[in-house]
Amino acid sequence: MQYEGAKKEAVGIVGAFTRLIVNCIIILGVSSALAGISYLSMNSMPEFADGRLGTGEITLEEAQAFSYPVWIDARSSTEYAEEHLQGAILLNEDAWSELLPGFLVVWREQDVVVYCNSMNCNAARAIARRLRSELEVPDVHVLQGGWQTIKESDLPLEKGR
Amino acid sequence: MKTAFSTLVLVLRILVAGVFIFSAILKLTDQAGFLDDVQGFGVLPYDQAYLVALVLPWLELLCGLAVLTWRYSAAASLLMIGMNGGFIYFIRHALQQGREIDCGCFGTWVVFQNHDHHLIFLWVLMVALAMVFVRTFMMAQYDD
Repeated sequence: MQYEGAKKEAVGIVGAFTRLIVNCIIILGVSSALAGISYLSMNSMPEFADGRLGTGEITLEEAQAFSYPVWIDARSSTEYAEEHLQGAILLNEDAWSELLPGFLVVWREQDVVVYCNSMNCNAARAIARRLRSELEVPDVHVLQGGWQTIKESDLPLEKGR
Repeated sequence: MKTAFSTLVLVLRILVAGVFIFSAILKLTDQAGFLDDVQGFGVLPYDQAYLVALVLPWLELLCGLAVLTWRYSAAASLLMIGMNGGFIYFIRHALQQGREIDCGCFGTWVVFQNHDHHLIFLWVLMVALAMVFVRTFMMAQYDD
């Protein structure tokens, strides 16, 4: 009797584990299917290639090899006023509409390099993504290391707006 | 005692479902922004970050709904434990590297005062998920 009871319990546990694994696979499978459908039909994600070509990070050496690039400072206006790369244009998401004309005045389809204030902050990527998607600026790059890299270089800096 | 625990687990199922469904909807309304957030952790290469940004919101949504059902509750809570554990790991990893990160979990709707508060929230969520999983898995053993 006890053996039968233990056997029944073991079968119950094995069955529960099996159902658990199967149900996990079902949930994962349906999620993946929904993700695939949304990618194909809803354009909810940026194009995969855009991230590789446009909003990927570049080194300072690579940025300096561009011919007269437009530098964009994606930090706050306070940080920008304290100090920024000489000639960089302030453009952040907080005042996108107000600051965008300043970028459009100087941009002549050359490469654009965006930096923000830490090793890997999202502000620069967000600005780069918006320039690509809203303005169709093709050659937008995010500076690896951001403001920290610029500070450590010998590039000229300036203060104020 | 048993009834009180069952009631507690039911309440927890509803709460965790709400958290994950809310988080999923926020991500689905701005998946490009979530991709930026995932890349911000600096852990995954672009290809994997893209895949995570594409699939994770749907997984969160489905798990949030599934945990409310009887049949899929154990599996959903187990997957939620995995996701929650991943969030905790990535946030701690990024903080240790001194990165400014926004996990993108709740957009601008819920803003934690600091990352420690965020991690505490995630650990509390983890305990709730563990209780849900244990209870629903134990009950599943008696299904035929």
